[in-house]
Amino acid sequence: MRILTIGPVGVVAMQRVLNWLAERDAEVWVVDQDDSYRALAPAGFHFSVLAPATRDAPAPSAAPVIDPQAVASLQHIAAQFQPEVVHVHNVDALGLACVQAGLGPLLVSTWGALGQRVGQTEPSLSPAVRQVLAAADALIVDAPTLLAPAQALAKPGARIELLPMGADTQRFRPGRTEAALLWRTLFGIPDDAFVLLSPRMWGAFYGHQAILQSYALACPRFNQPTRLALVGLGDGPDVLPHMAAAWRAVAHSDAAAAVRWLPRIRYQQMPTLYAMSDAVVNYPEVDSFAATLIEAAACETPIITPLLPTYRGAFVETLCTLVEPGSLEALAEAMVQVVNQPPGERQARLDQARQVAQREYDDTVIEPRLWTLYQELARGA
Amino acid sequence: MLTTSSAFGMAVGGVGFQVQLPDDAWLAVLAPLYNEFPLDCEPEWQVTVSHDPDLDLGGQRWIEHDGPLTRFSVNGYGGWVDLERRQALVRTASLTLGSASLEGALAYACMQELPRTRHSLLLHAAGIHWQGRGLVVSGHAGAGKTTVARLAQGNAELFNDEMVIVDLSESQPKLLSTPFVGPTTPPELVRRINRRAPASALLLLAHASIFELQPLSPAEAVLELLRTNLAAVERTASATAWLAAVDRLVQALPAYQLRFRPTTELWDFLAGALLPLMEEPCAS
Repeated sequence: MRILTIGPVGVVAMQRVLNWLAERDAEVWVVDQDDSYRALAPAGFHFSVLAPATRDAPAPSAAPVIDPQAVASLQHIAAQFQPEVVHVHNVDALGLACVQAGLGPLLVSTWGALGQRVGQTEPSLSPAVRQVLAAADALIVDAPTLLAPAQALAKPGARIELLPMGADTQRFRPGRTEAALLWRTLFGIPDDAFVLLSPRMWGAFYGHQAILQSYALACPRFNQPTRLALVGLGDGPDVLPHMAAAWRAVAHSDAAAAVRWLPRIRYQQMPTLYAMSDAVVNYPEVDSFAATLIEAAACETPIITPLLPTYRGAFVETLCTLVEPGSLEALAEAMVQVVNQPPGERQARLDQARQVAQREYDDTVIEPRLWTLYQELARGA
Repeated sequence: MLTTSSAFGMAVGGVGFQVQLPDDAWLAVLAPLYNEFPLDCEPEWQVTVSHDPDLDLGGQRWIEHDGPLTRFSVNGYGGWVDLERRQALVRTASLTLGSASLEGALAYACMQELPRTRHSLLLHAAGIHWQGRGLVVSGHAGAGKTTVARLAQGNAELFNDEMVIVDLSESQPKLLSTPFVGPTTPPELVRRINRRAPASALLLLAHASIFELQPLSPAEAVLELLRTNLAAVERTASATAWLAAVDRLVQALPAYQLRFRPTTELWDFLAGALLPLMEEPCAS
């Protein structure tokens, strides 16, 4: 099986697929916009760097035009490699270049491209995204509620596959590991403290401001010591003002001394992050179906989350502590409820969550489905 | 030194380190702390952390120098740093002291290496990014670095409350964060972020009942920095390079004594008193 895989390799979703393909001994040609994968690519993988420039769209409702040289480069790679499947992992300029190069059969992972804000009935998409989605022979969505929007955007006859990112539930498993205990010590977390973890990177959409403010509101009502662990301060241009605003609300409360700022955590280190935590707080404004939810479920870590449109129709509805979006008081109340709840009372629900993760989202379930999809696309099915 | 799989690379201030840990368990716990300082250059230094469960330093605290070799015992760990071979070994009794012992060796290596080879300085100072400008906030123990670091939250970005790098290799000095956590840094102020900003002022702190900003002459600033960075000049062979770099620093950056009350009014005061004195920062 020859698969042309289009970047960015930096995202975990693509790294996982590349690892699976290496285990399958597939022939793979990776194209990314930067060179970082060159040193990491398994033996036998081809790798090219291509950062396509775009020209202004001919009309406001049209997608930008990709530099013809980049399009020609992709066509040259395809002519040389003869891919049986072209898998685009992000709807960006490279994805658009694949479309304008006429490559196929084209499989597009939509991930965040279709993510809906609370209250939106359908995603708002740029002309570029629409062009990529409409050109694909198959689309991968990660949430049941994205099937219909994807169907509406795809070309007639295109396949729409519900294929969440999943998790290796052997690695994401319950229990406080020795490494997790040491992390607690190194991050200045007392043995008896209940750790609320916000595992999403700092960014405009992830609700850190609300999480910090709600934590400050909830602190006086906790019946045991707690710490709020925030991960990865990020480096985007919006991070600084966002963080300053978030912090200003709590800087002079008792909560300030209970916050722990953890470094950016790599994917392979995530199990330790969950293992050092006692509950996950996930409070984004917009999302697809976050891997965080699957990983935390697999680790039997209680999850506090809003029921975003993309979370409906999955275990989140029944097995997580749901919070009204956009309400500091509701989020604080949920934190109090989870922290103060006797552990025995929630164990049955956590057991169920792990069972769902193993049954529906484990790598051993997701990987064969993706491989089958590749085979069927290659056959023209 | 033998390098096995329980090793990782990191870079601080442009100095590359290959860090050898006792085993994979140590690697899993310690390496993630430095995720934001990836090795983006050739490692010049080899630093080995050795696990010695029976190590009992009895609270001894000493540093001795013998040519390029420095031996030390501080805060429950000990070892040596060889400036000529660019190697260091640090022994510690437990993994819970692993990051402190590793950072002790790395910081000492940076302190010695940067002035000699990089036109840079590792300073015992807090680094704060405020209004697009990097403030180097120095002072003796108890002068208020940690207090200012606390007050910075919500008003500025804290780079580090204990150790920062000032890069003097170009005409516009730059303030660089480090991953080094001091023994007195409160856990909520620990930041192991990789940031840089144009360095704009050197503030030497003193607690007071008022807010006051007094310009310091370059000579006064050098003396103040000497008082707070004595470890950098204990080795006579390194003192020359360090003093030369500090001289460049005080020529390039205006220095002030900042007397302050521990309230967030500090930022309003600095906006009125310091901001008009500083040039617009260049893009870093």
